Amino acid sequence: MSNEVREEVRGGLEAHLARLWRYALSLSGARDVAEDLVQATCVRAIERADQFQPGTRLDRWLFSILRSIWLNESRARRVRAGQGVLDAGEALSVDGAHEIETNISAAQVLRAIGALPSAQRETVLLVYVEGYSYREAAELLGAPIGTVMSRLAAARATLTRTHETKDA
Amino acid sequence: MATSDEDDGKLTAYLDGELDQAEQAALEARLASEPNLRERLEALRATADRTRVAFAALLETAPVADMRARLDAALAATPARAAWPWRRSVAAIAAAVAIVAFAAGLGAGRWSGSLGDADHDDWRQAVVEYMELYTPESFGPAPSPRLAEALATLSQRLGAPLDVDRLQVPGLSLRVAIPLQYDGAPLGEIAYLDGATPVAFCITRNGEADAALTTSSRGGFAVASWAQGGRGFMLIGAIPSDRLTILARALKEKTG
Repeated sequence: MSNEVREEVRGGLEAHLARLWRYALSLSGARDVAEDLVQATCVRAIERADQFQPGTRLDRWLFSILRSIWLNESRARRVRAGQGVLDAGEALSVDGAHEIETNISAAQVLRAIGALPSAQRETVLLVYVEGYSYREAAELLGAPIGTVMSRLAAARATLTRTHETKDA
Repeated sequence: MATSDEDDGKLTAYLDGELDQAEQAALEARLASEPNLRERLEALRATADRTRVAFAALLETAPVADMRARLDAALAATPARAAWPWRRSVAAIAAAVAIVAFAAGLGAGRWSGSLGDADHDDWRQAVVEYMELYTPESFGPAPSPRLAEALATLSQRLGAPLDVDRLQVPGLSLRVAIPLQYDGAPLGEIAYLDGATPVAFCITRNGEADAALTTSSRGGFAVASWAQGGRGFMLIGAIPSDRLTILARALKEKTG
C-alpha cells in the first residue's frame, strides 16, 4: 500500500477510534475487551473497504461492524447475563486527588449506567450519546422502533430514580 | 411522584424529538396543566444531560495512543489495494461507470462522466484514483476502432488539436480516448498502454493558470502536470518517472 493511501485510511479510522472504544466498552463492560473489539473492527473495515458505500457515514458503518463482531464474540464466549458491568471507577480515576465535582458525579452516573441491562445501556449510548435517531438505532439493533423507545424510557426511569434516591 | 410507564414513554420520545406534531401538541397541552408531568419531564431531561456528560468524560479516557499503534501495525501488514472507497468516492464511482460505458462501445461524445468538486488540483487527484481501477485489459486488445472519432470530439470540446498522429509517442500504444467532465469543465482522457501498463494523458479546459511541467509521485504512480492556455494537463502511469517526464515533454510540445 502506498504511503498516501495508508495515510488516508489511517485518517479515516483514527478519527473514530475513541468513540468506537466507548461503544465497545458499553457493549462489553471491559476495557481490554473493548480495545480488542476496536482492533478487530479496524482490521475488518480494512478488509471490507469495498463494501463501504461511498458518501455514507463512515462512523455508522464502523459501528455496525463493531456490533456484528461483538455479537459473534459474545456468542463464542457464551457471555452470561450479568457480565458486562461497567467499571466506572477504573474508567475515570487516574489520580484520586484530581477528582472534582463533575468527575465524581459522572462516575456515579456511569456506575448506574453500568448496572443497566446491556440492551438498555447500548440503546442509551447510541441515541443519547452518539445521536442516532430512533429509526437509525432500530436499524442497527435489528429491533422495532417500539423496542428502542421502551428501552430508552426504562433506562431514563431507572437512572432518574437512582439519581433521586441518592439526593434524598 | 411517579408517572405511568406510558407517560414516561411519551415524555422520553418528546425529549428525543420523536413525537409527531399531533402527539407533541397533545402532550404540550397536558404539560401546561399537569405539574406532575412537567416535573417528571425535567427529571428525565436532566438524566439525559447527565448521561451525556458522563459519557463525554468516559471518552476522555479512551486509550487512543495504544489503539493508534495497533491500527498502524494492522495497516503495515495489509497488502496493497486498488482503491479505498472513503477517499473521494465520487471519482471512484464515475471511473467505474466510465469503464462500463467504454466496454459497451458507446460512441464519442454521447457520454460524459462527472467527477466531482472544484479546485484545480482536485481533478488531478480524481484522475489518480481513476487510474487505480485500470488493468491492462481495461482498454481492449487493440486500439479502439472509434479512436479517431473520439479524438475529434475531444478536440472540439477542449479546443485543442488532437489527432492520432499528433498523439503518437515512442513506446506507447494509443488505445482509447474518453470524453469526461470535471466540475463542469470538459476533461479528456487519452489512454495508452506501455506494454501492459496503462498510461493516461488527461486534458481539462478549466481555466487553470499556466504552470511549468513538474513530475511527482502520487498513489504509486508517476505524475507529470502542467498547464497552458487555460487548460490543465497531466500524464500518469506506473512507470519510472524519468521516462514519464520525457513522454510528458513530448506530448506538451505536440499539444501546446
